[in-house]
Amino acid sequence: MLEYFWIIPLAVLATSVITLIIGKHMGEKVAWLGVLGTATSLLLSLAVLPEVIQGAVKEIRFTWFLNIESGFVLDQLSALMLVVVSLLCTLIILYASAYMHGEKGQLRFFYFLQIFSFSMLGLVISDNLLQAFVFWELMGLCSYLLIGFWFAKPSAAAAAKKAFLTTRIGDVLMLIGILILYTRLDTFSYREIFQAVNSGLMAEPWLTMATLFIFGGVVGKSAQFPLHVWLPDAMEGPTPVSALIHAAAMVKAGIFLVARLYPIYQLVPLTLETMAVIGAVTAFGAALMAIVAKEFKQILAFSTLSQLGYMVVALGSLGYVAGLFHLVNHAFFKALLFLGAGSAIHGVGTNNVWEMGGLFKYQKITGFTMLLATLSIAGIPPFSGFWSKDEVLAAVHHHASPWIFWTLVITSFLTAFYMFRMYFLVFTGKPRSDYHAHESPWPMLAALVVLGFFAVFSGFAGNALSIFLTGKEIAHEGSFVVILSIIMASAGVLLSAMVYYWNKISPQKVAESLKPIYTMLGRRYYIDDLYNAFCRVVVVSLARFSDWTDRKVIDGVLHVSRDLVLLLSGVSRTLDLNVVDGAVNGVAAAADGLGSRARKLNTGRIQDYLVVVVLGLASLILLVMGGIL
Amino acid sequence: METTRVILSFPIPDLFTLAFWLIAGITVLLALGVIFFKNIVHSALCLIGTFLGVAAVYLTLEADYLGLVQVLVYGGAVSVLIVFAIMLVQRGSIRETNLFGRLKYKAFLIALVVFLLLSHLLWRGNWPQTDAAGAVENSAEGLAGLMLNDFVMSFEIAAVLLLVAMIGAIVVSREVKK
Amino acid sequence: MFTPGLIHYLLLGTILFTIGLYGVLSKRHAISVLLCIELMLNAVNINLVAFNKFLYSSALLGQLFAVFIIVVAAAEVAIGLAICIALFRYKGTLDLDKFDLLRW
Repeated sequence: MLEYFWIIPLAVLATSVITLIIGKHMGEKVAWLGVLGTATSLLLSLAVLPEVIQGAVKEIRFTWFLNIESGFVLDQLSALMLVVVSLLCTLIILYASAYMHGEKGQLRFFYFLQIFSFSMLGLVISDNLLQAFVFWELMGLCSYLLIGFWFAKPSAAAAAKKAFLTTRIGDVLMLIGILILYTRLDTFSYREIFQAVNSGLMAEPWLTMATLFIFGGVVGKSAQFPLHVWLPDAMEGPTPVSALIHAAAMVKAGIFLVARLYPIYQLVPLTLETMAVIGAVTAFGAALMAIVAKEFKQILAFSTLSQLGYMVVALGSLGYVAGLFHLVNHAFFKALLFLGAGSAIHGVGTNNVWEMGGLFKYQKITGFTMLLATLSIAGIPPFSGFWSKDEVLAAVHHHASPWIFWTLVITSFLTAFYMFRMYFLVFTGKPRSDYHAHESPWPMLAALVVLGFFAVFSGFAGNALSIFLTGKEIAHEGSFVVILSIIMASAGVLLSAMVYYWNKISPQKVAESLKPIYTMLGRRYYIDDLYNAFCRVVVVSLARFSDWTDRKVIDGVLHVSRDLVLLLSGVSRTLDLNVVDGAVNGVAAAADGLGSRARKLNTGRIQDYLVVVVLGLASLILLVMGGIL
Repeated sequence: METTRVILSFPIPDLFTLAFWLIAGITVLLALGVIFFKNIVHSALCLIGTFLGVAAVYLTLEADYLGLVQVLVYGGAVSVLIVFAIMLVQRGSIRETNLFGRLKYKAFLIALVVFLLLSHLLWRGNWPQTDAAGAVENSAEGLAGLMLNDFVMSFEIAAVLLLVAMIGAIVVSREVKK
Repeated sequence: MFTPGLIHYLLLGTILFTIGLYGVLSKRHAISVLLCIELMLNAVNINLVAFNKFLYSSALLGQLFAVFIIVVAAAEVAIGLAICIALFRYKGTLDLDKFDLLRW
């Protein structure tokens, strides 16, 4: 079985092809094809897991084209990712089969979801940067297509474009980084890069630049500051899309890539510091924005930004296991949160948390699983989030600067606060608007329950994960960080309860008194406006310049060549008319003239003929006389 | 008294020579008359004269039978035929009927060229010198002998030819009733 | 020189022939052309007889030939004149300049 691990992504690809072929006639049942594909991949991933746990590592190489080698690798990291990704894809597609009931474009939706699953799975088992980049771009494309699924809606189309362009900037930076590595080391393969760098074949400035540039791609794909602007807008897509792509899978691709390249990343202090700073800024800034967000999915989007920041900081603080542990946990509870949000929005019919409230009465299972997820993300023990956040903080405390540490600590306080704000506003209290809610269909609930289970229990797998990935146990140094994180989380929950549950402090009054800050947070620090202005000025003027070039220069060349051609054709025409036709006409005229002159001999009068006869006779005689005849 | 011998530089020709030159000259003049007279009857008349002149030439050549035949056939029959034809095709005034056509001068040049050529050939020709003393006996008898012995075929065909010509002439000149 | 020899007769024949040729080529009236043809035939006859007398005096072949020529000439004149009459009936004139029937 281990030999054929590369079939795992192909299972989903196969079902996607089948979807294309017969999907039109299946109506809404195409979803089950997607479930089938991803479930197959999940089973296969689980099948190879035991052997990988035993320590088996498999690599397959083949020559892709020309002299570029390509291949797949199955090691601990990729096996882990395979299981996580395929599990999430299966659950979310299952959820979507019910969520997307009644929507148009079923085939398109599930086809794109399957293609996305295929590319994510392909990314995690690629063994070289070029192939990884291909899958990376493919995921970006699927993201664009799925955010803009309801393309008729202008805001959705704009959001899709924004997502694509922003991640594109990151992708260009990443490509530069990849090419720096290729030109210096002449290979795309991870293993060869690691070997070469460890042998010292890569000079210092180049290595730093390569890692920084590749991190640029991570900034784009994993929505870190300053390329974070697309993630909140990406909520325009259907909820399963938000859950899968923007919480559980695609945004994690950047984190995964850094983890994959960790052997060289851990050698570059500058890059690690940069990562930590950017991650911290993102985490803190996003958390602040989440506090004032009105739409359910927006809160979750900012939350995702924030948690991704945590993972980036973790990786920047040599917390390899911590980062990956948080990645896995976050995948589960964030997916759960999004799916639950979808369920709630579906039931209530509005997106605005201020119009919800008291939903627990109507959606008990949704409400309960959401509570589990919220407790998890807030970092309340013994739920999963607590364990991984604790690891992250420990790594940061150990290796990174205090600023970063305290920023993250405050952020965890904020996280607990705004997550429970969300929970209290939606599920508790009295309904703030007229709505008729009912519990969601079983596929959606099934996904919620499974994820809820993981949200609770995945935290206990920390040590096992560490041994699995690195062979070492997690080091526990003292309980300072642990106590601190518990205090922060509880404080956050308490404050949130005071404001939103017991209504002791009025959020509106606070907002009024801190109006400027409130507005700034609402406008997302005006960063979006800054980018829009930049685009308007720079991009549009570039476009104008190109247009001018096209019209004046290129069209100018065209006009010149057109004139030249006309001139040449004029000459040719003259030549043809005068010379060629002249020759032909001349010959005809000569024949005509000769004919008309010769015709005069034919008078019909016999005496004229006789003259000729006599002349002929005379000439004959002369010739005889001359001795010629 | 002294006798002066006068040597006449001009030889006195004998009668035969004189006769020949006279006959030749008249014949040529008459021939010129054939073409230069504007009246066709005058022209025909000159032709008849030419026939007679030619007959005389034959006589100088001791072809007596031929001369007779010439006078009889040409001067008798052909001439009458010609005059009859002229009369049949004549309308209006008989003057100015026999004019020159378009080729008056060109034909003169050509005829001149031909004459010069032929005369040149004659002058340069190596005519074998034989005596004119070949005995020619009674030419009629000689001719008859040739005609009816060696050339009887030609004789007969000539007769048929005459018959055909006669019939043909009648046919050609018949009035065709419309 | 003045004694008539072969050359003189031949020359006479040539002169008559040339005169006849000139007439054939240049005269307008068809019958005049026939007259000139007769002239040419007679000139030929003179030549023949002269040759006979001066060169081949043993046999009368030249004269025989001349006789046959006279026969044919007479027949030809008859038919020629018949044709002229027919032509006159057809065209109303015997002006050869007006006859271009040989054209097509």
